[in-house]
Amino acid sequence: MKDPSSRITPAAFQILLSLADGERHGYAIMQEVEQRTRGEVLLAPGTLYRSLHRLLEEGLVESHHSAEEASSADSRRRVYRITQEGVATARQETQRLQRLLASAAATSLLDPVGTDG
Amino acid sequence: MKQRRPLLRRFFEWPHKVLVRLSPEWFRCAYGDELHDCFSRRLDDLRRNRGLAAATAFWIRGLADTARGPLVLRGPRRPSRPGGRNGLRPKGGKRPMKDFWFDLRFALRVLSRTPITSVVIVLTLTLGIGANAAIFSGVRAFLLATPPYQDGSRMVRIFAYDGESGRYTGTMSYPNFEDIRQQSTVFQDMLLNQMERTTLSGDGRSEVVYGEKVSDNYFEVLGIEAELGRTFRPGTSSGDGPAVVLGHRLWRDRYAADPAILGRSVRMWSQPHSVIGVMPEGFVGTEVGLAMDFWLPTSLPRFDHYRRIRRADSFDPPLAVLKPGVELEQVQAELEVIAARLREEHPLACKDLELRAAYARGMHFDPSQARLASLAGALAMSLVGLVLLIACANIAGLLLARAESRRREMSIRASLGAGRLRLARQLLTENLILSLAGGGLAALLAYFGSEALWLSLAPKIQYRFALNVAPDGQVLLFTFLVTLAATLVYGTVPALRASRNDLAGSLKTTASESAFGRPGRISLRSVLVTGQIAVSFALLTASVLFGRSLINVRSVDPGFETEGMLLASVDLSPLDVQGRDGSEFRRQLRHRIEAIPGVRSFSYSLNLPLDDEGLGRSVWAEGVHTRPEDRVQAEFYAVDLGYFQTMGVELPRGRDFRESDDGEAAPVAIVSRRLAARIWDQAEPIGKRFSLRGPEGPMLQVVGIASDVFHHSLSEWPLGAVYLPLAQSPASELSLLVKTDNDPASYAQPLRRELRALDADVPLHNVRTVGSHMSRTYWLPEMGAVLSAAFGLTAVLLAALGLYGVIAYSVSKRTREIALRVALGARNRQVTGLLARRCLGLLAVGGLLGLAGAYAIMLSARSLLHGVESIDVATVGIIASVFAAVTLLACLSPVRRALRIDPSRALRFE
Repeated sequence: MKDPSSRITPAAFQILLSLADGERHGYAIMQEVEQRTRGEVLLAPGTLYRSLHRLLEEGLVESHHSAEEASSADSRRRVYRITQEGVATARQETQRLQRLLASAAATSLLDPVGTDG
Repeated sequence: MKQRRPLLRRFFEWPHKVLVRLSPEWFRCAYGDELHDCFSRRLDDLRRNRGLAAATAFWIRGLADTARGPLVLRGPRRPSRPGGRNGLRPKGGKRPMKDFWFDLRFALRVLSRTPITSVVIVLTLTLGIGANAAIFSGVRAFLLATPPYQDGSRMVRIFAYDGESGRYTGTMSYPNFEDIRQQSTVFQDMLLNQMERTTLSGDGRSEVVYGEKVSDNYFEVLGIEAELGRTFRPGTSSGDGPAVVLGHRLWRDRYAADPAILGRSVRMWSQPHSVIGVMPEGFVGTEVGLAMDFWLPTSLPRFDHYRRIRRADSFDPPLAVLKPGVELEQVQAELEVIAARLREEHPLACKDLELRAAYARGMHFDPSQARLASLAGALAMSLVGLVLLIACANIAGLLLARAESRRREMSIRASLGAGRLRLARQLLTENLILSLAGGGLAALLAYFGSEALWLSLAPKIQYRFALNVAPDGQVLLFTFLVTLAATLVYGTVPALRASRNDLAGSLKTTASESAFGRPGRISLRSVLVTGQIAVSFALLTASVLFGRSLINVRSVDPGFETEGMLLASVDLSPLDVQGRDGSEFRRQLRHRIEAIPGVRSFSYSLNLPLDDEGLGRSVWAEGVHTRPEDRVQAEFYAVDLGYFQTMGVELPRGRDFRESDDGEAAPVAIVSRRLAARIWDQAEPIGKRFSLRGPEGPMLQVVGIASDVFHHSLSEWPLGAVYLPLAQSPASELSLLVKTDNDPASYAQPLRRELRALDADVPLHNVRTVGSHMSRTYWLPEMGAVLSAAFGLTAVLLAALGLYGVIAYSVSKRTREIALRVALGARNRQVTGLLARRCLGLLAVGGLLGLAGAYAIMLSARSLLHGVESIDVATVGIIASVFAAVTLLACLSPVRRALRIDPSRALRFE
């Protein structure tokens, strides 16, 4: 948390992942995260927008008003899109998690049967 | 009903909107709308797809999450705050809205610094307002609600007093209704109605439905139009042939809301009736608590005997609309004149007739029960009031404590130049947030709780139960305002008073003052807590009394078997249409049912003890009652072979009915022991004869004496009963009685199967065990027990919260004192004892006062309590130990905190 470029919060990471396949508006991000994690991660709206704000500030995400919805009643809705920096950060975070997982796997923690005896 | 949802949704979304507005301006402008939109869509989605529980969970989580925003957001473009962290803005700047948002943010921060107190206050509000609104809504729907029609507030019910039974009957005869209607000058109009049951058939399915026969001006008086087609019109309906108006539910469920239903023919009592209209959704008739599915005009030939032949009571008390400006006293005076005239004109039928009017409110009880009902209502409302009182006292206690602990802060701020108005506004904002949070949760609790509570309490009757118990805005608003007022007054006034103090004085006094006031002085807080304990003690004692009353009622022997018996109702009238013999059908069905494995015995009966409807008949004994007006009333049963054995009713003398007691043989009867004693006193009843159709009517011979059963309720003095063999007194609406070896409920399916195999047109309905058959009888005592327990537990919970608040506060205020004692060598036991003495003192005084209160409740509710005459030692013991446990729990964590006080740190603290 102290160095925002190298570490991002789990919520922000989830948002980046959900934008990896294309742009979405806020509510769609919430739904996608829930579906992808099978309900394990539920972003509350407050957290979602606070994280989006930070990602925008850090240039990991950009936003624009959606053209197709601009004329409708939903014109207030903005669409969010991941930036190159965002992709890089998400990738970095994924690699960091992979390393973490690998180091955990090297211990006896994940063995099916406990070996301490 | 239709407007409620969106309004309710707006109500639930509103707290979130407020929280969004509390966010820093830059965040709000950039994301506020989207954020709120996201919240409300998600809420909607969950409610629709996953149900209320998921939506509620999200609601709470979402609110909490959004509320964190103002605390954690650190925006780059955040405007510099006008007055620093403490709101000590130099005077002169006029930015009221900015100040307001600042106040809100600051208040949220203050409240989150003492999370436990804040949560306790919010919970207290939730329980206090929510539980109250839920309970009050039900009480109102049952007992206080004005009929929901255009003239509802000016509607009265007219009750008839009947000399023969010696009581207000809660019924009215059609001819009397017509006479009153014609002769009275005080009513705009009046209507008559009575429940009817029929088998609805005609499209390959048979089902039993409940509706009403009503006077042809029924819909006109109520001012309700049909949704589809038309209703009956006064004066014209008799020419239309059998016409029926359907209820919305029946139309929707059975006829798939088909608009082509108008003019279609449906079969009722196996006769074609043509549908002329469908009533709008929500209209279920005028009986509170019961939902009707159809309406027929009393002018149908089918009801002729009610209208012309009998001047006997057979309808519900009529509803009449008062003319403008007419008072109830005028109505009563006129009814007395009319009753006198009727007594004169019909000396036999209207002997002792008296009429009385009462405003139509809630369910209609006949005047003798109405007193009981209003007593129950008054009791429930006083209990509601007491719980509300505890909630207010609780909040007051907590807020007083908080206000006191902030005297220093207020003094400092005041001395640094904050105006009193400014400080008051700050405190007001804090308390407002608490009230609103509690109020929002309470609305949820009330809205979902009341329906669950009252549906679980609803009597298990065979009719469709319908009661609108959802609390409306008025109920919520009232409870909410009371609590809001308490919060604001108690929370703001003391703190403000403190701010007036001179700085030096209040800085000096804070630390050493005891939580219970100075020694030898009783503080307001102790009084509040003692009051809470007293009230909750009284409520809990009352609930134990009601529980004992319920046990007493349940242990009354009804006079018949209550175990292992399945009951069902069947309507054999479709057989007449098919030209088949009912007795042959009965014989075949009996064979089939007796062949089901596990069935021990079986019988048919017209009328059952403790049924919703009874059958009263007049009895003229030969040589005893020689004139038509000399007679005794008895409950009438027509029973088949094996009835007494199946029901477990003994026949101490004489014989049971036999196969040979058929239509050809001489008419015989069995009478109950009490009836025999009432008529023939000590003389031998076997062989005596009586008639059911006047002194000159056909005579029946008594062949046996049956033991007594309760016919209508377990508290009645049984009238006595006449049993006739079904073969000699045929009937088509029968009950089936199946005595089984094991779980009776498992025989419902086989029973249906056998009946369908014989004839698919004959519907089986109202299948129930004797237990559920009798639950109606236990309904009132059960409701008393459940309600008072709900009140009692709510009160105890609130009192526990209050007690906790006081003790915790006491520990925090006496940190220095306790530290000193510990430093001087006091042991844990002595520190604990110090606090325990306080707790127990409060408990003892509160408990004694509560006991007195409980005694008062018992005296005023004596007529509702069955066989409970005193408060016994065991009851008091149980409740005292409950309270001891609760006190222990409430004191546990504060005492542990006190024991952990480190003298060296605590003494440096101040």
